[in-house]
Parts: sequence; structure tokens; C-alpha cells
Amino acid sequence: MSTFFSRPLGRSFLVCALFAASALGAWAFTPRQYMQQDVLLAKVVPSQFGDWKELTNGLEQTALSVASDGTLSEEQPYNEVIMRTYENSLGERVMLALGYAKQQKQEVKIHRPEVCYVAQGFQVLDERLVDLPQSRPSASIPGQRLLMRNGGRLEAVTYWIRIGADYPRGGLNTRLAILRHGVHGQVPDAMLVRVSTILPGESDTQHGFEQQERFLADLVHAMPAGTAKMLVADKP
Amino acid sequence: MMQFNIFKEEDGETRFRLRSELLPFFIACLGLCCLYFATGVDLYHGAWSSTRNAHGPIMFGVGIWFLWFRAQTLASKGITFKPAPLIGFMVLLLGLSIYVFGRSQTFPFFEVGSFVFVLCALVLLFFGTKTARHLGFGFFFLIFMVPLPPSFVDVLTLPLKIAVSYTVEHILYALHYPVARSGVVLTVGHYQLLVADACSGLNSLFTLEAMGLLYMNLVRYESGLRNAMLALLIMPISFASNMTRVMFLCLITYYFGDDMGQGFLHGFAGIVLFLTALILIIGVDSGLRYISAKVGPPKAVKHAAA
Repeated sequence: MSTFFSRPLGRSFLVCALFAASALGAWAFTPRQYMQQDVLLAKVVPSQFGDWKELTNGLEQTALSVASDGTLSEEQPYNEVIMRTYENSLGERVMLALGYAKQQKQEVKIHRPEVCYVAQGFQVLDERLVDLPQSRPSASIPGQRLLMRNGGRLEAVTYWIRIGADYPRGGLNTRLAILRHGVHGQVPDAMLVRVSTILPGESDTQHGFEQQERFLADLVHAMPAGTAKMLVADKP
Repeated sequence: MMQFNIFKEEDGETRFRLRSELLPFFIACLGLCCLYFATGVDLYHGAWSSTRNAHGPIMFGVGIWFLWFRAQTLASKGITFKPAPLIGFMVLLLGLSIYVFGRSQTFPFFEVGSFVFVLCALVLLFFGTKTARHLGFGFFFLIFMVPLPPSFVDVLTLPLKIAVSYTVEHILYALHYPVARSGVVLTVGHYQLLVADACSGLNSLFTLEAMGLLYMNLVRYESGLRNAMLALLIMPISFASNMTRVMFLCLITYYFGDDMGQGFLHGFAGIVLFLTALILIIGVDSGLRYISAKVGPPKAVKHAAA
């Protein structure tokens, strides 16, 4: 037996056996547990909560592209996108954008606002990491704040990106989050939760960000647990 | 392990010994093709059909050709075969692990990259380290076919696009053409042209760089300095060729209209690009040879590959 494998022909059989094992291994380790949730955002996101009420004519927001047939690609990574503008009793307006992707892969994944805004002509004035407190016991959510300018338009943006059960910040962490899920056999879904406000001037920045923080906490609180886990990770 | 020569003298000509030595290698290669068939299909539908990695199939084809080409010269270099199973299986296991990881976790970069390791492993297993070293450049060349992550490519493409647009605008303006630019959109006469990712020249930069290295390897100049200079100069050569292509298309559109500019001639412009680049590379290389012959003693001798 050992002499067979020490000869070239035997070696070639062993090599082919290893190839077959690799093909099997690659198939076996492919994540097959889909975390996607078949919930329509348009139905579950409330049009009215707390002091906020949805406006029928929303303000124009930085676009999130969806393919017409719903297929995911690198350029169009969302299955469903909703964009709404909410107004409170003081007449202040806040824009909400939610982008949902049912599956995340290494090369087809959700886009980060700091990239999208810049691609659509904005200039980044400030960018910082922030922890967004939630009224539910599941602590605070790691998010980011951006201050953007496009000509005369000054926009404050607060957002978080949920990938599966993680909130990765930055491109590398996004890849690692997808990989972590993959190694556990899961194909994660992803949600972009983005809130933006047009600021009259730079002095309104702090007020704008605090308002967005409260808006997000109220929004998640207003959604029943079953549907809130679209936006927020479902931690046991 | 026995040392053996794969060639035998017959009627004064060296021939391949097809039976016991070469057949196992071909069986292994067949297995290799089966394993990477799925990868190939995915590449065909995915990465290699996009503008970002359009250079991929060319690199694959040329790489495989080069390996076969180099294999022809094994006999003349007197290389004997001494299979190295230990290192061969180590590289094979490494390559296959990368494959399993890349394929299962949808990382095309690792999945395709593993091919180079596995192919190298097969050569080591059946022919030994000397052969692998002789074929070395071919393996290096194959690295150029690996698809790069889009985010990485975009970071390189955008400045190239802007640079190409900027240069074309200024040259055409200096030649008194009615041209204007906004970002990467050129307005020539009545027409607007978008300098797209494919026009940024990133694919052709990789392709030309690889071709230049191939050229140097085939022509075998002894001077390391000259080789390094040529490798560096290929970057501006590539940029110049791309700029020529965009300018060519602008002028076609200006004189003959949109249909001509976007039709058949668009593809033809690609050929113009490569011809320009090829002429420039050979020209620059001849220039470098002339300079070094004038400046230093004629110690650099040209060895043509047999």
C-alpha cells in the first residue's frame, strides 16, 4: 500500500482524494442558516409615535439604491428601503432612512453613509463614534455621527448599521462581522438605520444630534419587540 | 526519491515520456480542473465580467501559456526532476485550506488565489523544487488574475479617472477644441462623455504592468536596474496610453457623432490603447538599452530564451 502511494500514480490519486475532500469541506462550511426576517418595513415602522408624526411630502434625502427586481448586488445592496420625514409639535423635522438587506456576503454588503454622502457630493466636516442609549434593557447601540455639508446644505446624520447580531463600525469591522457569522454557519441580514436633520447653522449641531438620539430611542421603543428586532439586534 | 529525466533521446530529439511520469501529473491536473470548475463559472458570471476585473481572464490565459512555454525549456536547461512530496503536500494543504475558507465564506480573493498555491504544489509534488523555481515567474504572473475587492479597486480608480479627464481636457483645449470638464464628465462640442471606471485604465495598468514584466522575462536582460526602471516606467506609459484612448474617443465623437464614438470604434480604441502601450514599452526599453550602452561598459548581455 505504501509503495503505491510513494509512486507518482499513487500520489496523483491521493491528490485527487484531497481535492474531493476540499470540495466537500467547502460545501459543508458554507453558511446555510439565514438570519433574514421576512417583515415589510413599510408596514411595521410607525407613522406616528411620541411627539413625531410622518409628513406626507417628505424632504429629499441622500439616496439608497435598490434594484427594480430586488436582486442584491454590490451597487444595489438593499432589498427594501423606506425614507420618511417626521415632524414634531414644534415644527422641527427629522428625516429617517431605513435600508434592509436580507443577506450579507463579503463582496455584497451594506454601504456606509460616510461613503454614500461623499459620492453624492457632500463634504465630511466631522465624524465621530457615539453610543446611542436605548430605553430597552439591551444597553446602548454603537453608532456614528456625521456632520456633512453640500453647498448651502448643512446636514447632521446619526446612524447605526446592524449586521446580524453585531453593530460593526468601519469597513474592516463590517467584513469581520460577516465572517464571524459565517464561521458560525449563519448568513447575516443587515439594517441601516439613518436619521438626518438639516441644520440652519453650525451652532445648532449639538441640539440636532441630541434630538436625533431621542428620536431613535423613541422609535425603537414604539415598535413591538417582534418587529423592533429588525432595527435592533435580538440578543438573548 | 529517484531522480529521473522526463525527456528521452530519440532520433536526436528530446521527447516527453508520456507514460509513468507525466500521466500522474495530468490526472492531478484533471482533478484540479474539476475542483476549480465551480470557481471558474462564478468568475465568468461575476468578477471577470465586471469592468473592475476585466483583466482577469487575460492574465489567466497568459499565465498558463507562460508556464507551458517555460516548461519547453526545461530540457535545454538540464533540469532533472526530483519530486518533493513533503514540501509539495505542505503547500497543497495550505492551498486547499485557503480554498475551503475562500469558497465557503465567499471571499473570491482567497478562493481564486488558492489556485496558484495548489498548482505550484502539484509541480512540486511531481517534478520537484528546481522545476518549480524554473517556472516561478509563471506562478507570480497568475497572481494578477485574482479578483480584488471592489472597495480597494475604487480607491485606486477614482484618482486615475480624474487624472485622465484632467489631462485630456487640457490637451484638447490647447489644440483649440471646444472642451469643458466637470468632474469626470467631458463636454466636447455638442457631446458629453463620461470617463467611466473602465476608462480609468486600472485594468490596463495591471495588464500592461504584467505584460511588461513578461516581456522582460522573455527577453532576459541582465541589468536589474534597467528592469526596475522599465517596470516603473510602465505606469506612466499605461497612463499615457489610456489618455490617448480617451482623447481618440473624444475626437471621434466630436467629428462623427455619438453613434460612432460608442459603437464599434469604442472597442477599436481599446486596441489602439494596447498598440500605443506596446510601442511605448518597446521604445522605452530600446531607449534604456541605448543609454546604458553609451554610459556604461557593455557588460549587460542579452540572452534570448531558447
